[in-house]
Amino acid sequence: MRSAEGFAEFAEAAAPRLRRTAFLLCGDWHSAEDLVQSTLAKVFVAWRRIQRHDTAQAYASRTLVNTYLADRRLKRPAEVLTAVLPERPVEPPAPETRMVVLGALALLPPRSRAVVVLRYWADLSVEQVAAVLDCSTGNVKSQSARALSKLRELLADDITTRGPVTAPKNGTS
Amino acid sequence: MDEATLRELLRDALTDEPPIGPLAADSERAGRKLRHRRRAQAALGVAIVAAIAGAVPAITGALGRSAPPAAAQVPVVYAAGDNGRAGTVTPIDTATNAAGRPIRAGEGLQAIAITPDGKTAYVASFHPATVTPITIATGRPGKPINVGFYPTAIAITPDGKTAYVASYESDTVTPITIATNTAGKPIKIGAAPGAIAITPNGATAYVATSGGVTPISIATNTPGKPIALGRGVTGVAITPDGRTVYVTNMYTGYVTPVATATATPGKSAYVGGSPVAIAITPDGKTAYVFDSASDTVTPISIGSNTVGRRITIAASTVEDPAVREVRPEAIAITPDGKTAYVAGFFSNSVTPINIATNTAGKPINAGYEPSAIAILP
Repeated sequence: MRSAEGFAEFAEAAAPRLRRTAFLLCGDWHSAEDLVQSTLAKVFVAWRRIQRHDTAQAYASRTLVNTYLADRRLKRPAEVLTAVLPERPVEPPAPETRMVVLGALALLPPRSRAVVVLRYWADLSVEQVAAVLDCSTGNVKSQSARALSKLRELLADDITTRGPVTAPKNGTS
Repeated sequence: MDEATLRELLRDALTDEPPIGPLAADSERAGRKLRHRRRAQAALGVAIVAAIAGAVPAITGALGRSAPPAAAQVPVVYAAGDNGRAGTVTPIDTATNAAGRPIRAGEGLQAIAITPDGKTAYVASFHPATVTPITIATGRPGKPINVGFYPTAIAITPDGKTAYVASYESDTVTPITIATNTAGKPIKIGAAPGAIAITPNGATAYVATSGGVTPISIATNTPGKPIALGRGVTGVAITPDGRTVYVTNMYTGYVTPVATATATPGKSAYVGGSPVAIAITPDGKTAYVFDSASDTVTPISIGSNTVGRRITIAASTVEDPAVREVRPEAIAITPDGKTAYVAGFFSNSVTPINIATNTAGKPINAGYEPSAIAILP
């Protein structure tokens, strides 16, 4: 069917990266997979329109983020939110660093988290993030700045310099 | 913590990534299901809004009486079983705002235009890509005319001789001779032509393409130099004096006036959201812009380009704000300039807006996913 031409190739190529973005947004690989599947399903429905504009990738990112944000509005978050990060052993192995980072991301409000993931992982420009989130570039900049300073508080200085992790300060959520 | 460290930390967080499996294939299956669900009720509907109050009850009645039985009206069904229903054209009486009996015509109706004599409505369908003439007096659809893929807009010349159809996916505009209902040679135009408007003197058609607007000389059917306005151009409308083309951009939220004499863009007005359709009052004083992201209509004063207060139309059930539909004909204004009608795609209704007070009236049920409106002259 003409309407699906090229979709399979696009989905195959885009899925791994979308899944990583989704993972950083939602914090677990199962939900990430679900998120990507419903995103790509929406891309499939709109495929005829967007392939002409050559914007399938941007459209997919936008749909992914909006699907994630809509899920967050509808459901209780799947992650357990805590105001304080769990204490870490003095010299954590690498996987612990990973958990601390995910824990910190989970404490950001959903839109701030999306800004961080899109800007610093997906490498989108401020303008591109603004287009994805349908807000102004000023808003993206201020959200980034706020999120960065919050992450700075949450991930105490030692983790950011790859050293041993100590318990973060209280009352940072 | 600096940005580089954050980038590194985010990369580290992905280290336990499991193998991906058949995600792409599963997504395509889920996509087919989703499309099937969306289409299951019926294909897109289109509303005809009748304008002359006195004439309307007769027209509505005629359409209702003469509509043939449903089974006989479904045209050639395109491809597999997931899209086998017909779209509908719903007449609405502007005096009472009551909807008449829907006319079935084609699948995936996307655009509609009515001849200046009010005798024929042309509706564009995208499965298959055709334009079907409907005789207004009888409500009977004629033989579909083949056009380029995914027709999204139709405009008819003021002399009623030619209909121009913009085909979004074949990058063409097809002229149709109304006397014979035959398609002429498609005119190659820039990428993704989505909307079309013709100057009141019938000399030029302005076509919205993905990067701006392109004028077409009606006398020769040849495109002129495109006027660059950036990606996302969706709706076009021309002032009654023919001096200015107003162009909406669904990506930037801006509405830009372009002087027809000089082909130069003027100062843009910011509406925000995804403005996809625009209509201008017959007195040439106000442009009404429909934003499909927020389901609002914003009046813009022509000349000063000042933006008025947003008017919210029927409550929307947009499931995904990222979906920006191309619907250049979603808004139309009655010839007396008193009412604007807006097609609420996701609310399955048409909302009248009182132009004197800029307030929205009660939504009118108008079939499934109404996407375009034309008003009897």
